[in-house]
Amino acid sequence: MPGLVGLVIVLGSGRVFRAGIASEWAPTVGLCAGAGGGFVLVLGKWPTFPPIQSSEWIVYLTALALGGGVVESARLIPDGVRWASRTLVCALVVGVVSRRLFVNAGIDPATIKILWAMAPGVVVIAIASWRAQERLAREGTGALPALVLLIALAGLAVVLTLVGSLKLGQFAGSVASAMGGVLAGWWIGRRVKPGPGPIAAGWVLLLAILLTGYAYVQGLSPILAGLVLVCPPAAWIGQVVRHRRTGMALAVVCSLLPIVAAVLIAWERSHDLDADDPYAGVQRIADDTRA
Amino acid sequence: MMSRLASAILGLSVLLVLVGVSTRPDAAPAAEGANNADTFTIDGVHSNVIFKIEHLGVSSFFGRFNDVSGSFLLDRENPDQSRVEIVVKYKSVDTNASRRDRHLKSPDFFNADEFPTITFTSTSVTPGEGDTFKVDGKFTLLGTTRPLSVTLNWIGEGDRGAQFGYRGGFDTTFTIKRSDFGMDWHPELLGDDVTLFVGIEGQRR
Repeated sequence: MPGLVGLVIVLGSGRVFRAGIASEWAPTVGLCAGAGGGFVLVLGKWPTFPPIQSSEWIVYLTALALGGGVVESARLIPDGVRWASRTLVCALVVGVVSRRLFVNAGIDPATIKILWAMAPGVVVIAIASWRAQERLAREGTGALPALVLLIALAGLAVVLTLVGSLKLGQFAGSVASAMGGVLAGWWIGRRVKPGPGPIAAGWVLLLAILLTGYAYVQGLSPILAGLVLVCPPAAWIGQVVRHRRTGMALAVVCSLLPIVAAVLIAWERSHDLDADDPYAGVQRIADDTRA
Repeated sequence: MMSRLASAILGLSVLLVLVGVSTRPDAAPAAEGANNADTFTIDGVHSNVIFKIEHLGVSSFFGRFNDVSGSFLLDRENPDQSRVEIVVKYKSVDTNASRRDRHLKSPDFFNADEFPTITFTSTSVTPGEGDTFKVDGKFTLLGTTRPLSVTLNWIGEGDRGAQFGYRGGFDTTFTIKRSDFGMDWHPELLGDDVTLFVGIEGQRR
């Protein structure tokens, strides 16, 4: 469903509006509408406002992602405004995800100090990774930036599912699916190109899901989170050193490397628990009976 | 001789009945060493919280929480002044499968890192039949608080020597709907009704 929504919006906008104008907003709207619809499907309900759980806040952060994406894709906005928008969006995402950590810390001053010290650092990392993705979006050719984001999202979906949260994994999968729909819409219609807007919106959603998983899923370690975040810089390096023969293939391979590593580590850790843990799979009572 | 024996037996029986009637408890019987009002700290080692939930619509699945704490106040003269507070830590969930425990602690179910505890805090206590109390209170799960009424069965109390001290305990069973508290993911896998079996032992402070 998320992919279908993204595809329909991109294709439809290309037929109704001029390609240049549609390219400014349609891919961003398509991505956010598809992803938001996917989140609601996963939850099975529209979460009440204000949500209580951080995972439910991600549905409402889709609106923030939409705003950030529209700012990034607008042509006449000064760079200063763009940077202010990125900072605000990242700070809001970090604040929404981490607010429960501050509540749980209660009146413990040591924990509060640590959280306040870490929060700006997390915001800086979020902005830096957004910048890497944005550079790739502006310097990258064709569908490369969107493809790299799709790889990062799909990898995050697999990692989160392996380390213990199927719900958050499905969230990341919804955004990946919506991005796939946007890419398919551009490939089929060849009119509405996914520029920096959907890349920014998709990156905001990836950050929100990743940070929620990092804060509240025990198995998502700093190494796994870092490997997902390093995906766009790795692609950018691959693009910088590319040879005319390799084209964007080298950039794609470079972006895949940290994701493959993250999936392998998550797989290893998911099987690192009790060897006889029956929760790993369906027990074949019939086989045992026959034996 | 037989008539004297019969008379003695009859008299003794009447005496026993009279003693029984006169000491019939309205609420928890005061054991030797009990005060009018005693506050007990819950002994987590000898307290249990077990949950039951329907799995795939075909069976009942049981799990437990290993970290139970809190306190209760038993006021014998004014039972309505009694209080109960129970705190259970989500991270102590134990279903005999590490991977399942990890999944239960994730945001998919208990969300243990975001909401570390389940709590029940009484707001009113009313003596019931025999050794029971009707307790109204607030039950908090996944950050959502809802009113809950339970019936506590007071098991007993007394001085259990130097090793255990003065102890008292109760148990209760009640059922909640997990969807009322925002835990409604995949209802086709797990039932909405969750029954909790709570057995509490406390040591008087």
